[in-house]
Amino acid sequence: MDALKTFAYHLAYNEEDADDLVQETYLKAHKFIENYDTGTNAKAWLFKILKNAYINEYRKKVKRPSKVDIDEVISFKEGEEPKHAAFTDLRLEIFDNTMGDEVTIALNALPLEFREVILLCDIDSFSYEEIAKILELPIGTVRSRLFRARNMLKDKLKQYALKMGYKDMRGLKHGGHRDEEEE
Amino acid sequence: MRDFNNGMSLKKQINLYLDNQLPSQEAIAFKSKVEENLRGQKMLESEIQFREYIKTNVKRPSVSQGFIENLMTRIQG
Repeated sequence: MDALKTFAYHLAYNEEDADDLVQETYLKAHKFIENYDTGTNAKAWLFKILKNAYINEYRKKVKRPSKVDIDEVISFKEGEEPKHAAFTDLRLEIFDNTMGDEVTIALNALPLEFREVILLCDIDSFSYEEIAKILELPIGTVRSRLFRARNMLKDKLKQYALKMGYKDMRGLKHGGHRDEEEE
Repeated sequence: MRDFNNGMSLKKQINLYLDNQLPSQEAIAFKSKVEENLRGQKMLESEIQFREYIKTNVKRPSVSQGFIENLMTRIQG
């Protein structure tokens, strides 16, 4: 139930609404239990109910606009990397001891379609196949969204670290010249 | 670092490898290839650390006992 609440919290942005979503999920699961295929992944089924509840009911009420970087949207194509992807690889020395809620803030700043794949894969350890079923997407889309989402998350965390005064020293040779960026 | 294998970027292959999306033989071959490549090793290590970092630091609110009791009452009612 905690895993469902974590997912709900990062969709709805606050605990009260997350509780409402989890409650609604369990009530719907109870009501429509005959729709559950015995032997299939019950956790994935609950996550799918929650996601649909969020889309169908909760989101209409809230109408919170997604925070979308317009450049990211324009450049988004399956498998395409953002122009700054080369700079987004993360080394923990930049971030060590600098963050607490920043991971949550950065994650919640991603558009829903990118946030949800990170939550399902990296936080709840669902496979691509399970995520595809939960979100009703082709596996190829799950794969490309995940790749983009992780890069976007790294970028947001890096921006925060730089704002905090941490410098990115990767790729700097002696004398301060940067190596050619990879990828 | 492009064209590490089959024309796919190393970064993408690392993602697929860590997500268990490479077929087992391909995963074994990829791992040994990365182990021979210092840059590849660093990228793999960095990606593992990143994922661990996110998993550890993301907020995970838990449900209260009162919430569970209230839900059980509603379901049973």
